[in-house]
Amino acid sequence: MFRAQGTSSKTMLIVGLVLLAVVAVAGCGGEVVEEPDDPTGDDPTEDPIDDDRYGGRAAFRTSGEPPTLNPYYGTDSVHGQIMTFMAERLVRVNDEGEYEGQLAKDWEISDDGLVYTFNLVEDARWHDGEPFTADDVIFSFELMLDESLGASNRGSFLIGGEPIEMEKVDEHTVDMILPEVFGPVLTSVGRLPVAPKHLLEDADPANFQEHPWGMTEPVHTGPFKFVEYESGEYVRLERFDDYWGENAYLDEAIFRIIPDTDATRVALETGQIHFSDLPSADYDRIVEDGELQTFAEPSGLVQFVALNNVVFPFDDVQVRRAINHLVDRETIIDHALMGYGEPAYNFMVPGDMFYNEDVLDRKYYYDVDEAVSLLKDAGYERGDDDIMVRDGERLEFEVIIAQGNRERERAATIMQADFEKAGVDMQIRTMEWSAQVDILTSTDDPLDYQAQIVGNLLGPDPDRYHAVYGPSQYPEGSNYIAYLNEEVEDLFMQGRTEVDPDERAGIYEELQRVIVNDAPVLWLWYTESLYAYSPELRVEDARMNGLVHVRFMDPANIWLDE
Amino acid sequence: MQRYLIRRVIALVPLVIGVTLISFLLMHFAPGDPTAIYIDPTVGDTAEMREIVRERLGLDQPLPVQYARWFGRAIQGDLGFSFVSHRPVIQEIVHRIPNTLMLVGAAVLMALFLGLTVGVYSALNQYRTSDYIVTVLAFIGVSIPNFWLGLMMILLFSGTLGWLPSVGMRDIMAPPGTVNAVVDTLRHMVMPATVLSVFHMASWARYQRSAMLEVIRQDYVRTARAKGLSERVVIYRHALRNAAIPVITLLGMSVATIMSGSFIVEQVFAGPGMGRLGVNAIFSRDYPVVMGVTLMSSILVLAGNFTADIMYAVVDPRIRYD
Repeated sequence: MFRAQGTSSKTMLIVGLVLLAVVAVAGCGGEVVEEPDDPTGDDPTEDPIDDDRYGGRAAFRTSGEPPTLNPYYGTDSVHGQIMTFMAERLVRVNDEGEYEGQLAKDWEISDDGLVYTFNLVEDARWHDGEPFTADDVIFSFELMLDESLGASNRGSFLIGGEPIEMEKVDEHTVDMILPEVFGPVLTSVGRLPVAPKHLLEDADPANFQEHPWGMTEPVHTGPFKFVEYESGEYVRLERFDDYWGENAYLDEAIFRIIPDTDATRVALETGQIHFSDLPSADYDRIVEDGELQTFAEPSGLVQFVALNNVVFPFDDVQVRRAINHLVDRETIIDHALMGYGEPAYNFMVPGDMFYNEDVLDRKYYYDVDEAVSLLKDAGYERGDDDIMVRDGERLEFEVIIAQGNRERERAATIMQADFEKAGVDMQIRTMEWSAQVDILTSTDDPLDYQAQIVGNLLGPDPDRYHAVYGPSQYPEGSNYIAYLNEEVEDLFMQGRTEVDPDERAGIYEELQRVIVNDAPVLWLWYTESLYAYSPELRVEDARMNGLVHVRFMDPANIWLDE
Repeated sequence: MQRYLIRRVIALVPLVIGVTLISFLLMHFAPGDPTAIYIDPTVGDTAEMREIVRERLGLDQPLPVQYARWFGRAIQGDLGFSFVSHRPVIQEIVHRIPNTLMLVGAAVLMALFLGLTVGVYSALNQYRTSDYIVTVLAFIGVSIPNFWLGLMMILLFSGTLGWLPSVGMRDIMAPPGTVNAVVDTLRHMVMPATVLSVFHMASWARYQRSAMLEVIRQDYVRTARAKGLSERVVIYRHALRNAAIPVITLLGMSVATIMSGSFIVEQVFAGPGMGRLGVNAIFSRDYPVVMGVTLMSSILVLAGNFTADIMYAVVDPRIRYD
């Protein structure tokens, strides 16, 4: 008898489980929206203009979540890519490394270089329909400079410790007044997010990171406006019909979050996404298959081995120069990067303003004999095990690389073999990236490392390199290589107070000469951005580029050929 | 039974404290610092900014104080704000947890249904060709790493054959109203759920096979046959019920491995579940999210074990909890 009872309760259990599963599946799937369906399947909101470029949804893959949608705090590339579709700046640096007006049509600079007058676009509107005016611009500067807000670029708006001042001339004209002449100021202006005063006036600056404007209710002036962000899945934007420029072709731009690169490749091939960046190995396979469109261009990122210039053995400039000659950059690019990259012999990146390779006195081409003779000049001799020795001290060091970065791992292995040829013993140590960042941002003197591979994305204005190479940035700052040449500090300061482009060029050329002579780091290669995109995605007019935070100067001009 | 339930629930409290305390300490002793993500290292005085941020996040307090604060808020349902997204952690988890539950639930059901059926079938056909095939397949199933299987399935079913979508939990490209949500979800779920279930399907099939073989030789089964009961009744009513007991033990213990497997599967298939939330949080040292995910996962695992214990009593009336 109890058996029968047992069976029924077991049956109940199974029925219960099945029901639970059905409910779970139905509940999480969302709802089928009953809509009077257009038999052609066309979106009823499609633009009436008789131009078949209009319409369609394009999906762009991002490898991770945007940490924030608040442009006052976003510093990462995913954030930057989404923002270029949605938000605009007064001025920006374009893919040619030149200043270009966006919400500012144009600007005039006073003869003394202290007053910049911006003429604003007159018919721009915020995504909620309110007009964009000079008040918004002034408000945006105030937000940026508010200390309690803690914007990540705030430092760029202080000149000699003094804030930039703004003055309204009329509804569509503002004056920017500098405390002293500052050459790269337009680069700073290019980093200023423009914020809607009417929505954010009453926001508490101390809690600005939690404000819905940066999370669920972004309002900007760009060609696409925000629809929704489903965490872990996608960010969806749609065309903004009151855009002041030409309206965007796409109905929707979707940023889909897909971490795995193999899954990404299949998703591209099957049309689940239209566009993605890829690591070199995956990109190479797509190029070989030949079914998708591909694009490779320098990203503005330079990879290098950061050396700790105040500890053994890198406190000796001859050693730094010698091992620079031991890096076989061509081989590294061929074998670690599948050929996608350019050798780097300079701290600046081709495409940066005033970049000039011809002015360098030295070029650290691969030359083992040269390296050995430099080391001998520095007092080193081959020891018993063929490793260089000076005063009983072996020429050995440890290089730190981030775990899981296969390109850097392979590069380090190639360097290790080449270094040994000249009697330099390099040990490789892998570390989780966040642990490496911990060392980089520490303020210890000296920092607790000898060498580590890192990447920098600083240009296009050369003044930005002051952060790493300026002696005033050590140890309280970001000069984690402890490179302390006062001549470099002077040159950076001269560059800031000079407005004449020709004079600035001369200063920065001298700077390149000095820094490359000192060889404070081992420059390795300039990374390329590698994109694959489906055949129907048309980007000819969108000024696609390798800049990892931007990718498209004109996202409104992307269209789908279906 | 009621007293037993109450005792079990009370016993969960020290367990949850232990689990969260260990992960809290591990996280804080691991190198890496959450303040690093706040600071653009190319601008200004990073040391001073780091101190400001540490203070704002409460990281300047001693560790016991930090943990006590976290725990005190957590029992009131407040898991704090993410360091990265600044959204409430509870909101992030609530948003993600249905996806994880759906994936884990589907995988457990598949593994249970197919694993047990195949195990019983294999036992009843011992030493026949079909039994050997099942044994070999089960062996392969236990050995295949799930991330590899996931990638292979993506390449075959999405890439080569083009039958199934490879990313996410739903079609986000189709115009609204053109897809049936249930069908769409099922299409997206098939591969990840299969991948997640394969290991357990195979291992449960193996256990079920040996449990069944043992039971089938017992005297009461022979008695049942001698009474003239039909083979169906002998197998399903008498043998299977007894053979199910060890498998339920396994089920309870497997909840933890299935949960951790879902972390990997979500990474491969871009599933928007709790696992990926946790993995990303670990890499960015987003302490409140890591703690929240740990807490929720341990509660789910403990709930799984608890359910298994209750199921014992359901399947075997001899087991009583007093």
